[in-house]
Amino acid sequence: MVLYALVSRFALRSLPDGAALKWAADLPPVLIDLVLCWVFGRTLRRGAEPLITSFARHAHGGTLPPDRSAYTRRVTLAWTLLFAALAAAAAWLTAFGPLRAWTLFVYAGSPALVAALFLGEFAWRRVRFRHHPPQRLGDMLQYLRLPAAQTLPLLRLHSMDDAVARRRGQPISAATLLADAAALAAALPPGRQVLNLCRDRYHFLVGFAAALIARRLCLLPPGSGDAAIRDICRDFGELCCVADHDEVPAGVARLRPLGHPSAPGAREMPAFPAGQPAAMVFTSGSTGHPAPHVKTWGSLVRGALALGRHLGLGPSLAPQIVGTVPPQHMFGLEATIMLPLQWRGAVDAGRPLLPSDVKAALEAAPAPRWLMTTPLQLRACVDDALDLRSALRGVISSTMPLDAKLAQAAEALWDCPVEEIYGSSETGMMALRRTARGATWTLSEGLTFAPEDGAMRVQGGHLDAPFTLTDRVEREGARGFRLLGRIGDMIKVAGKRTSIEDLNTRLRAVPGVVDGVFYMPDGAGRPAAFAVAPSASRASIIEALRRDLDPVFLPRPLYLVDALPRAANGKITRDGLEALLHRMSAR
Amino acid sequence: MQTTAFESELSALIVQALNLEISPGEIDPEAPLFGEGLGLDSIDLLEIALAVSKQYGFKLRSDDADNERIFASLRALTAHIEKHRTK
Repeated sequence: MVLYALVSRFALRSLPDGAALKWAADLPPVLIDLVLCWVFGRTLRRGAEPLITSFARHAHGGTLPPDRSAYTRRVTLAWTLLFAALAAAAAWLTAFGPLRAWTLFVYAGSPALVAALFLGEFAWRRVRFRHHPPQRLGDMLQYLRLPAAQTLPLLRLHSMDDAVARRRGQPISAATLLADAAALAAALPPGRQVLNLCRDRYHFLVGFAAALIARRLCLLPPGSGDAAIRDICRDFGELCCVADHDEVPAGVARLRPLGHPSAPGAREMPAFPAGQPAAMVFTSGSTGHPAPHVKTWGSLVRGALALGRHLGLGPSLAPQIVGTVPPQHMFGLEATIMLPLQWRGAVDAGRPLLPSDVKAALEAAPAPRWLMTTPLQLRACVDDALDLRSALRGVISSTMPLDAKLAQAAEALWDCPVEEIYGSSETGMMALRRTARGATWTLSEGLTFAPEDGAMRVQGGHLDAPFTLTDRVEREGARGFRLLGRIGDMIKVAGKRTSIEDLNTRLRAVPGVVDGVFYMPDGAGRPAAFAVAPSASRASIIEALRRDLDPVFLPRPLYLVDALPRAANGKITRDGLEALLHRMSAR
Repeated sequence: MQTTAFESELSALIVQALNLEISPGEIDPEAPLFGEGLGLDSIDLLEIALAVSKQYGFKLRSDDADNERIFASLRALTAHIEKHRTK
């Protein structure tokens, strides 16, 4: 605003003087103040969300307490009135005031008043909300510094001939990806969001890029071919499914990822606003009914950049990725799609599951290779003593806790660091650790703690919004923590979260079940369950649970018992269940 | 439904390895193992591969070109293992 006023003034003051020119030179500050007055003021009308309320709500992770809503509405009104007053004063000085006064007001008075309101409001807010966790000025400025309108490229590369993916070792170039994505983007039916079910990682990448190019949201379902996808289709109405296989829900428009007529603009590097909604991932409760979480393009890019810097990637170190996790899972999206895209790397198109597949995929990839996997698959590889002819640069494990002994065995076997990501579908990566060397997690780049009512919140970095951890943690220094245990008996099976209490409620609701409890033994991949059900069979109970639960949470196994090991006060202890499990499994 | 001795052996191995809530005899040798049929998932595949590798000295591949055929049913998997087993 000030710069424009300065330039226009000098440019026009050097011309012959005249009333019209004087107005042309002096009006911009008035107009700018009027525009700002309108920008703030229009959000005060009935039914709209005041601008400052909207800023605060985003900074607070989506919801604001009522007292803050009322407060931020008044702040928005204050800004509206300030800009109105500034516009009026500048207009009056333009018409009647001496040049000296006008200059002083536009260059010094006006900015000083804006700064005074900004700082004054900030100081008042700290007093007014002194019982809330204090905000820092830096947090507010950081929020202003990265405008959602900033654009970030789809991928970074040296040349269009760079490989972005490999299928059985054969490179697929960036130019091919852009052409395929542009062609698919042009073929997408208008107005429909994209459900990306592709299994091949290159096909997934084409669907993901096409959705971005066409400004559609890319929906990433948990698992495949199950009830969760039908739920998503029901909740989101008109979808377009991009799939490289035939297991798509009935009644949903389906497109193949490849083979569409080529579209123009394929050789330009697409870039998208940081605030563009890019992907929707789902967390599934025990019923499997999916809860959506939107990822902006900016948060995905910032997360990938942070992970890459952690790994020491750079112009001379472009990652070659082999992943065993599906790209639809948040860890898979971060580590096998976004990471290579943003660091000039390439990803193996396959999804190796078994140790022999992993070996073949790694051996087909050039150096430097990273394996993105889960503790289950890592264990299978280590148990198999998977012998790799060529060195691995690193392994990253996520989705469930990695055992330190397993991490040490893997490091010894492949002579490379095995790192672990602590994250969630809502946030992606939150912290990292080298599991073989210690239990302490370090927050990923840019993230900070914000303690709140016993639970722990993390904020900043690539996160779109602060997130309250579902685990109990103990802080270690400014950026470190240890996991103490789950809050509210949360368990995670095959990357899906639920609470034991919720499972228990569903088990006890099964006809014929008098009493029942789920139990997740330490280190086990699946929960077991015990039921007291004199009039029901195991098969009938499982059948009833199958209708009500995501299949990953079905008990393996279910034991029918005469009574649960309840103490006198009715409580069931972990030790009691452990002993019962031991007795039952020994039969 | 006719079940061969080796199919019974393999279904017992699967039920035991996965703690499945059915008896080995209940696995239909013609029904799909994964997805809709028996409802197994990729974690189960990992367990099956491990058990098969220990029992029969042969490593399954999931990205085999004949993948869909091999894992289509208990019967197909049995045939595949019988052909490749080393012990």
